[in-house]
Amino acid sequence: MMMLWVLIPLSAVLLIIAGWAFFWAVDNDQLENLDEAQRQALELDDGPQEPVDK
Amino acid sequence: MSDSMLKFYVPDLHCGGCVKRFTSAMDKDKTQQNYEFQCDPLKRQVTFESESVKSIPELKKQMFEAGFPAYILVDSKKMQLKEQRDFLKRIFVSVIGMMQVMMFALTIYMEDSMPQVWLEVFHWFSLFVTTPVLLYAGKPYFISAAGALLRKQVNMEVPVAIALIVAYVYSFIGLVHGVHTLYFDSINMFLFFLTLGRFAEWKARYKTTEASEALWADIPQTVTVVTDEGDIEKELTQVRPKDIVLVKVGSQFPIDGEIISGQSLVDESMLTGESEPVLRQIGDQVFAGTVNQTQSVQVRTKAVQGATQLGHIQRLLFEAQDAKPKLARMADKVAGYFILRLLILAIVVGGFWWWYDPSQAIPIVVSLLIVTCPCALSLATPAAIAAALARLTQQGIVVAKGDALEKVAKITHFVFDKTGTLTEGTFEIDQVKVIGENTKDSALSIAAALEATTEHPIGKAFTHNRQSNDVATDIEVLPGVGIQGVYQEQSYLIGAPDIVLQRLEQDNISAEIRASIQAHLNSAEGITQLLLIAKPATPIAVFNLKSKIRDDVQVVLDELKPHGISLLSGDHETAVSTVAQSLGIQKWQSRATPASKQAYIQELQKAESVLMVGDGVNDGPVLAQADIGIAMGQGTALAKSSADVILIHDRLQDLNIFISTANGTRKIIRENMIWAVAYNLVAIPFAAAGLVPPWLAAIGMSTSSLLVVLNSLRLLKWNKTD
Repeated sequence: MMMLWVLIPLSAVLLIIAGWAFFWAVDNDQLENLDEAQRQALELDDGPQEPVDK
Repeated sequence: MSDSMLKFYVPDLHCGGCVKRFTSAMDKDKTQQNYEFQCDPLKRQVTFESESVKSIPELKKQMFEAGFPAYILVDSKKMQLKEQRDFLKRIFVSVIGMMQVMMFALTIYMEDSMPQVWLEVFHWFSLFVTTPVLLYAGKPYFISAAGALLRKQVNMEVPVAIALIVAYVYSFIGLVHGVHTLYFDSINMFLFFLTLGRFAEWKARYKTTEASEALWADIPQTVTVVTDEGDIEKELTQVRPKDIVLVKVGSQFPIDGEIISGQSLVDESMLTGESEPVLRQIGDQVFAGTVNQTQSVQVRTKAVQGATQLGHIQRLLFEAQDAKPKLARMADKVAGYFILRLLILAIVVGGFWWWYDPSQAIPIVVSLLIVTCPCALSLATPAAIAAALARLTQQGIVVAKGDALEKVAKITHFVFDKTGTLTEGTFEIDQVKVIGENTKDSALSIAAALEATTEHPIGKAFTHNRQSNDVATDIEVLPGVGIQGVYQEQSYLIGAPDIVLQRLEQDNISAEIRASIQAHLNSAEGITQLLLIAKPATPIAVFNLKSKIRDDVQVVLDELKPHGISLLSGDHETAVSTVAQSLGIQKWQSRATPASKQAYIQELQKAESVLMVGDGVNDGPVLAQADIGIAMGQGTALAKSSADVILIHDRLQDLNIFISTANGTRKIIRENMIWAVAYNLVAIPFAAAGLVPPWLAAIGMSTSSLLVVLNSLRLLKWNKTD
């Protein structure tokens, strides 16, 4: 049970770090347009490659 | 315009006096907000520093209450993102808080096997987590409730705030005194579900805004203005009427105006639904939002931003969003009464339990306040209306007055205009029969100059016969008759042959000429004709115009068959009867003027509810007279229209889509209402009897709101067959 004295404050610290990371992500437009990366991946696709002569 | 600005069109801001009234009404003491803004009564605009605006809906409400309805003129994306970020942060804080506190709660519920010291630690840690969650995620509810109470009102946040404060204070005091039944878990859970529900509602509401803002999405904000000193780049907001703008290939026209140099194919599908690009040349009108496809052109500016046709469409959309339907107003009123009674009931129930079993009193009051919060009742109508408006806007149907969706169910009679509504919106000149010594070319030139400024489809048939800048002067539109004006110092009149002939009858024109005119008219019965005369009484030519019945008319009319259908037209009898017979319409009226159309509808309205479909220009008063007026058309017609609904893609089949979606909306609203009322009726006795613990109350209340929102969102995918 003594481990709880470590785990509980640790969870509090992790909580604060997670909160900070999430706020940072939101404020820095990381969650603005979640579809964009998928769309770009499709648009940048050059299509089927030409067969290479061996 | 800078990104940090938020611009509103405020139609009632006319003069310095209005600015003074507006400034006074938006005073910090009255609004509880320190807004920073600038008024421009010339443009009827107010520009706010977006940093000083916490919520656009709240700001619009405050302006409305001050007597200044306002509509956002430009992309409010930044503000929207700010609100979204706030929501995401609050949801995150409450969900993390809920997870942490729940983890401890599980242990606390197994207290029999838990040493006392650890129970104390878990409780204190729950308090440590709940306090910031309550202060951060609960802040908007406390501010809103405090604002309402300061104004001696109760809003939906009042019971929410009371429940949160009571649960927190009770749990804190209980913790200090060693009581082990605490409600930190319920507080976190309630805040999470409540914020999640509000976020879903917010998203649903903004779907409509997004649909209207998409109209502006790609319009260039910097334009090239042609001046004597050369081409200069200007912000779109600095462009003024009469400025000459260079629009390059591939760009959207940023303004409404007239081409003065060059010609190009223009994609107007955004405004008209017409998929084929249209050739626009010198003298032709072009509209903001359409795309220049083949050549650079110079355009003389007529309207910019909010004054463009696109701006008017956007304003109509905002007006529709603002206009609360009767049902929503009723729901708000009921919710208002309900909250007051709920607070009284909570006091009575709390008093009873305090007397009967004091240990149960606080949890039961908290549960009662949470479980019966009438969020679902208040959301039932607006959520459905917002989703329906978004769906309709996507399909090119602009509902300018929100209550049109409600009125559809009562409609028993449909009245159609002929030209541009049942028949194609475009005419072609089929034949020109010249009378006397005039030539065909001169007759066409005169007619084109007279019709140059009209937006009516008949007038547009002459567009390509007009020499550049060849416009008649002193033009006067005579409703139901035609157009008169002066061209090359001679006065002319062009219009419906019978009415023009009646005017001629007052003069002594020879029987020979009269017979010649009549022969020309009789030779082409059943089609639209125009008679051109030089005033006072010299006939010049008869024009035969052809137009075909729209492909989708019969399908639309078949679906409306159980109802009464009438056809009203200013055309002569044979033209109207031909169309009526081919479509199986029993009631029709020819030679109808706007006044006689209005009278016809008034007569119908003695026993029926009437929906009128017409073009946006000539039928303005008639559309206003009908219970629901629907305008079809393009160009400035849309901007001037007094219609409740506008079919911007100019497709008659959109009428059936509108009716189907309106019926769907009513069905969804009814379902929402039944659910919201039934939920509250069932939940109250259970909560008052102590059978609903606070955590269950939090889930119940939030679930009821979420269900209403999710049910409403079904309208976003609504199909005519649903």
